[in-house]
Amino acid sequence: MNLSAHPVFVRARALIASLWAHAERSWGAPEKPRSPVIVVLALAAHLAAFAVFYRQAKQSLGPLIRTPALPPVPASTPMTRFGMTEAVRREIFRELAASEIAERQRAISQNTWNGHAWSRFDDLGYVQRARGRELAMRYSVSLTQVYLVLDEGIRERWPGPDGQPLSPLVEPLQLRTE
Amino acid sequence: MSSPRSQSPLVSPIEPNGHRWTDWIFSFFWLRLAFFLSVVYERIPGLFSNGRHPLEYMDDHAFFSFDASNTLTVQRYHQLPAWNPYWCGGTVGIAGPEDNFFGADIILRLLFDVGIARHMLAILGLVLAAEGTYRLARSMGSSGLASTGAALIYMLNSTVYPLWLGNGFLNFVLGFGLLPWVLWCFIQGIERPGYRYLGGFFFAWIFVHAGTYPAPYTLLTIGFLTVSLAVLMRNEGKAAWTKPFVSAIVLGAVFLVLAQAKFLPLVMFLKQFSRTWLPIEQLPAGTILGIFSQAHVPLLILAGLAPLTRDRWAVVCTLGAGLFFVVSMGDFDPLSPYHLLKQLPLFKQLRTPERHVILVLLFLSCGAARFVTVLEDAVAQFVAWLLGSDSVRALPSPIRATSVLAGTLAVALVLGPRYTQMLKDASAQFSNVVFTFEPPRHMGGEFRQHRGNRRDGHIFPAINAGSLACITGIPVTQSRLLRGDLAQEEYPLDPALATVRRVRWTPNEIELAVDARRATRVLINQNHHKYWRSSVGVVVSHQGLLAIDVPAGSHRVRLRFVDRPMQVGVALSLLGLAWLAVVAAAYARRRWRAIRAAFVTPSGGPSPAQSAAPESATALPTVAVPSADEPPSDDVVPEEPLIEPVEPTADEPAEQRSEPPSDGGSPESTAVEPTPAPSADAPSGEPSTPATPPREDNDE
Repeated sequence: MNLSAHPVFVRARALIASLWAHAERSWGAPEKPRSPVIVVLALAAHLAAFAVFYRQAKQSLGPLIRTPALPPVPASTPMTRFGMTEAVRREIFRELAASEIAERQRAISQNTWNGHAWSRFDDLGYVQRARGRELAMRYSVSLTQVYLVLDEGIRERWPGPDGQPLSPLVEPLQLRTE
Repeated sequence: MSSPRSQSPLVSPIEPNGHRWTDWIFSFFWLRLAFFLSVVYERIPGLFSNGRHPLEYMDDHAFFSFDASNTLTVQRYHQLPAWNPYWCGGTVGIAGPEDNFFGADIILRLLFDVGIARHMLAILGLVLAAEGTYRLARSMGSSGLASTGAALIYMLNSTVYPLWLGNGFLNFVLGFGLLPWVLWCFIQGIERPGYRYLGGFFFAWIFVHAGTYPAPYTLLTIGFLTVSLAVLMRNEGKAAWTKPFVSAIVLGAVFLVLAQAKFLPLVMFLKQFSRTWLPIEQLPAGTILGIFSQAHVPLLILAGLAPLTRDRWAVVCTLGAGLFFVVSMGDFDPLSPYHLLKQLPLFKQLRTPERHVILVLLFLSCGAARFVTVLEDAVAQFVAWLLGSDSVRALPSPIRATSVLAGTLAVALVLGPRYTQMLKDASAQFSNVVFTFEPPRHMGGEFRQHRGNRRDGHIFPAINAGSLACITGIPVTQSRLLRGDLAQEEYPLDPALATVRRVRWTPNEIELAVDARRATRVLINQNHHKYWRSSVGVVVSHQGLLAIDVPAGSHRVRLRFVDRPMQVGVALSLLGLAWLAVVAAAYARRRWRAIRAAFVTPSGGPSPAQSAAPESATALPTVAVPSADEPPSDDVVPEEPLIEPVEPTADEPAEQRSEPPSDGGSPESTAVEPTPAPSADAPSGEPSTPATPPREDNDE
């Protein structure tokens, strides 16, 4: 059987031809022919314009694209984890926990957000971020390392200044509507 | 000089495009891009340094996190990011309003580091804003110089972009950068259907790139332009007023098909969760005016003077600026436009009405461009009047070229310093765009939930951890049982009854080895969602936590997140893209034929394209275009069409165009020559097809 004569094939071909004709029509009448000299000059001008763009893009975007990658978090060794000894990690965690406890007490004493639980919890993040940056600078580690220490302390239930571990729970998202 | 119209209340005193040879200088696409890029480079240097760093502002860190988790899901796990386990303890990925995964700029995020890609995205958004505005202003008939001015003002407008860039709202930067492209395509699409498809593509790009605000605003702007143009075109021929509607409807339909990959899942998401925003927002007019700086005064004056020329596009632009100014004032009255908008389903979840100022500025820029063009043309028109010539086009070539150049130079000299001042002012406001916050460091390891911090959300995907602390524009349900201290993320509800071991973990698929002595429940430390499916047992919500009720015995449980609406949407979008590829191929073939024709046939002879093309291909479906070889019919009303006629291009210098003889010539001599003015008593209902072919896209 001649497949090209099959009605489905014929119809499909007609459909494609009509779609193609529509696609061609959609851009309007064909362009007027131009002299070869004009076409060559226009192409050359466009190439030159592209060369100018390429030069500008290379100059401005080149350094951005070549920004070197930062080193990853240091691998664990028998004495260190995340590039820090346990003593340093515990010290960092203790400071983070202290700031969290202080913020929780402030929220209660000042009745922040009229008791809106999620907003209060969200404020903890604000304090934690500021303290985390400060600690990263003080201990010459990255912010990522500080958050890894926080995670380790919560998982290992390291005690804070009040002798209690930090809560591993979060206040479920509840946006304010006012 | 152009004759005043007898049928339209608004006339366009601007000469038809074509005589202004200086426009040719601006018609090189790559040169324009290089120029716009160099302006961004000079004015916002912060965008070009510290490639891996995020901005200081916390929202940028959340967006950085979304980008990072999407990239991670694709590159490491080879999955579409339908589910995002890195945020809030698990939430929808692509279906989320803030997700930008399907944007055409995804290529940047896949090729480069997320930090670098976000820098490049901001730059892309600004350059696109400039180029789109240039094209939009040109499609309104403004000169190359005036359109470039409009482009620079919109790109570096110093009203809202500094805030959006500084906060990391790159979805706004890109979305509002693409908005002028949609409008340009809409206007071009009134005569040439191909642009409707292209416009649909740009609109879909805005939508899928987290176009929470840009997409509704685009819809609003198209609606305004459609009605305005329909009113203005009502006398331009039989059913001419329907053309803007056809363009808008086709563009909208193409948008709908292309955007389905996000549209369908997003609609499902919004059905499940809706945003409540109760405050009534209103701002006094003075506050809105205060958003504009002193440097904008020349712009406001130029745009304000534009309607005095009775130019139709200037009137449209002024109306647009005025309308969106009132919308920016918010809900000040039950009959205020913003209040009425808020009654619509798409708009009721929006807030911050002053964001409409971006539309005010776009219309002001384009309106000012029209007035600048009038000024630019004034010199040549004065010379034509002095020499008693009918029009600038009828002037002898050397005089015409010199007078046009004089007009362009005069405008550049007078207005250049004002525009430069506006740019300098903008530059100062962009000083907050500094990428100095510490980027994340990478660390391998199994996925686990971290208690997290939404203000440093960018940190967590890099260490393969989710941030339980989070925020989303639309509040999703977050389980109270999520924890940041689990030894394993998947565990039995009753450890005495079963053991659970993770076999394989990916964002959308988790495989577990479960050994249950009795039927029991297995918990996963992620939020429940109805699209999770399990190969064994039943997926249930355990106080909002994802859980499976498994029967007794040893099982290999395969848990999959299957977003059917997204899958259907992706299929529809792919179909749309395939059609777009066909249209693009037809365009490429057309250009290639034009180039080939120059070498295949002798100059001046009929091109193979013309002889080979089917007869129907030479006529537009919506408008009868007289061919160059036949005179326009007598019943053509010589109004200047809103869509401007062909103008000289980079490919077609002004000297190459067929020109009328200096005595005015006969209508047969050129297809773009305006026909004589109609008599004042011409029947108003007479067919009045524009005497000119639709304006070519000169700047591609």
